[in-house]
Amino acid sequence: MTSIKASIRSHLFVRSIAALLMLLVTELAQAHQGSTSYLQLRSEGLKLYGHWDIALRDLDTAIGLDADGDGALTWGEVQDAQVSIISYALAHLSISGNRDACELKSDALQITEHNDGNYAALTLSGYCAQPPRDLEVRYTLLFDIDAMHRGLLNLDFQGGHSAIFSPERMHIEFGAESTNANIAVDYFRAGIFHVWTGFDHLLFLIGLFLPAVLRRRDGVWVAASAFSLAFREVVILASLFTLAHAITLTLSALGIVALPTRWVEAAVAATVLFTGINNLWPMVYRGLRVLAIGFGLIHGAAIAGVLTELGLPLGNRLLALATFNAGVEIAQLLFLAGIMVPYFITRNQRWYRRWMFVPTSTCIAAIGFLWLLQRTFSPPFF
Amino acid sequence: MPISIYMANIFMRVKSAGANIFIAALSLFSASIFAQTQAYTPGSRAVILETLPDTRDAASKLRAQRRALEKNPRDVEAVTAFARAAITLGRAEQDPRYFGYAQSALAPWLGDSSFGNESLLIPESIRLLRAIIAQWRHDFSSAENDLNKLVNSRDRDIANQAHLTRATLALARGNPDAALRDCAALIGQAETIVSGSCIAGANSLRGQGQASLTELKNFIAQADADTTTEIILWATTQAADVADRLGHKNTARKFYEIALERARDDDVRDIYLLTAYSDFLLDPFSPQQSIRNASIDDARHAISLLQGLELIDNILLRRALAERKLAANGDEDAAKQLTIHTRWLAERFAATRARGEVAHQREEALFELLLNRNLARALQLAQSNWTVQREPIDARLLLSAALANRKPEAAKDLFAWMRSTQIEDAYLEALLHTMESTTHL
Repeated sequence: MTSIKASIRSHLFVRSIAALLMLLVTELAQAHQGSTSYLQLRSEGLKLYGHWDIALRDLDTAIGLDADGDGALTWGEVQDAQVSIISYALAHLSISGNRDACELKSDALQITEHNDGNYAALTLSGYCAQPPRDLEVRYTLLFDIDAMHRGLLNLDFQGGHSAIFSPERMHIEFGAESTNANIAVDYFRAGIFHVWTGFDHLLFLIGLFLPAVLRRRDGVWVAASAFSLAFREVVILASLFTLAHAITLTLSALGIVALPTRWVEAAVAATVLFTGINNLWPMVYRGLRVLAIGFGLIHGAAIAGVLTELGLPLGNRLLALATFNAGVEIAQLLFLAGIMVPYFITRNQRWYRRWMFVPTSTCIAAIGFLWLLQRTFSPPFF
Repeated sequence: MPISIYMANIFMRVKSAGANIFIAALSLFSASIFAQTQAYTPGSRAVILETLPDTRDAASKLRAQRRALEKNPRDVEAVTAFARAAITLGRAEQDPRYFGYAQSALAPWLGDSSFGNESLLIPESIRLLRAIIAQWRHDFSSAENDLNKLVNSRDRDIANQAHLTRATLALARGNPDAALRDCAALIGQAETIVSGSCIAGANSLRGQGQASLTELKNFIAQADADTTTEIILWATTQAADVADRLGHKNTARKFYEIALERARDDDVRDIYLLTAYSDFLLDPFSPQQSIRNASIDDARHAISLLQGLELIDNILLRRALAERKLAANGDEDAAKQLTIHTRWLAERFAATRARGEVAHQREEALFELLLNRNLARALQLAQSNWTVQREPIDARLLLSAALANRKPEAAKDLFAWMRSTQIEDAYLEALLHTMESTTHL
């Protein structure tokens, strides 16, 4: 019994129970309220107007405002931090019209008083590329620091809307019922856009198709003689890749298959690396088609991540998915067509190998390696 | 500008469980939440806009801990230490922001919307913290989910804390039998006063009030210098509460005063003790007519106890209740203060509703019933609260609200619960008596 007593009375445990007791018996009472910011937005044609009130106390916690550390926040200190406050705030708010990011800026900072203290009052202004049919607001302020922060939104856009942003709901859409035509157009364009800005994807394509115009003979790359053969090879590769890509894109976007983002992003980097290396020291050349399929599956899963972020509309998910897919594949094929032209034209030149094939492949391998390191050991932002 | 809400036009990905709460919150959204005060530019650079919280350096220690966390967000020990410190500070100051800080620190294991799924392996200490925060938020089912996975932990400390937390949860939900099982699991694992007080507390709500009171008295008397202040306060407050429910008002008062003195001596601010004692002094559910001199003194005593803590909503509520008593007795100053405080409370409840929080129904129901006199709304809130919490005060609240609305059938669930738990509560009995005589039940 003595030994049990001894362990029971062990300091750490007793303290933890005592501490726990005090945590448990407390009632949900608020001294101050939970952290809240107040965002008012108005959309008029192309223009955006708004006000954003953010608690000074929260800004101090996030970016530090009390320059002299005396515990009293003065107007002078807030003024001095104006640029930081505005850039911090705008980094956590984005507005898109018809899935196109709108510009947003803030020129003025004043003070407003709320129930629980003084707030920084930012005046917002901005514009969208076209008068939005639908508006999407993405809000991430303070959630990384305070999971109970809430953003209260009042939006004047085709009528009045109210919403509450939270870590569970960082992104909300408003707008007229999207017609099928709207959905199709928006997602098609989004598909194209994301291919053009997916550099890892593009690099991979460049690397994969570089040797498409060559043949391996006696351990050396030589230009494929017949244009028709080379062309056929390219078409086959591209089709296989596109098909595989579309399959995983669909499965991932519909949630039928869920691969962890980190893993997928790292795998994409690996494909880039492998493609570069394989060009220089061919490990797979007859099996290039298999490679195209396998890697296509991986890349499809990767771009599905983008689609998940964009969000599929509640109605007509399949249409959105199909048109996104179509946009992606068409953009890819156009890109391929674009790069294949110089490849074809120059494949017979002596310098194709030396000055195009080898350097490009080396660069691709190097970049792929760097990306692989980055993506394996840090958050999937790249 | 009037705000109308077009639900149908809002596209959002809302998990269905949250949809009802969300929609309810929005429908109560009032334009007054948004600044009616104009934005302005202060006159001089020296104007002080905000005094940052400084609780004897605890806040600055927390900052330093958070900076360390930024470098190693997945360091379990650092996160646990930070979260516990934040929660302790949040509890001491009754400031929800600290609980928010604690919760975000848990994010690397719990996932957030942009990265998706939570990690498959959540360290037990992290899971326990999540349960504690959920319980504080009154998200009892999430808390229970986590606690169920922790009570069988190989780590004795974690298992005990999980049992104790689950027992408290069971009591909050009005299930003393379940609480008893968890308390019993602490026998031999924790100090006798802890397991004993836990058991006595549970038993006091299952028809064994007198025996429990005796037990609690013994534990308190036997507590030695090693027992921490927090545990003594907890046991003493429990004893006072049980005595009060049994109708032994003098004993209750004695224990409350003992607890107060101990808290003062050790410089501990125990909000739970203050609100429990205030409720005892104010007897808010008794009919207004019976205001005697003694109760006026009690009201003044309550006000003096709560002095300076009005930033805390629960405290402000009790203060306003005390002022109500004094005002009814002719105190004009109290009447003026009451008007101001009633307005403050209304604003605060509106603000928390705007945030979509529904965890304050008990307080809001008390406010509507006793101060704002919106009886129908009080009953609605009391009933809604009853589905979440079932402590004695929640029972009294529901019965009181049903009485005030002359709708005894609204408390139907309550009667069944009283029968099954065999709860002894002098206040409930008094309310039942009133109900029977007015409605001839």
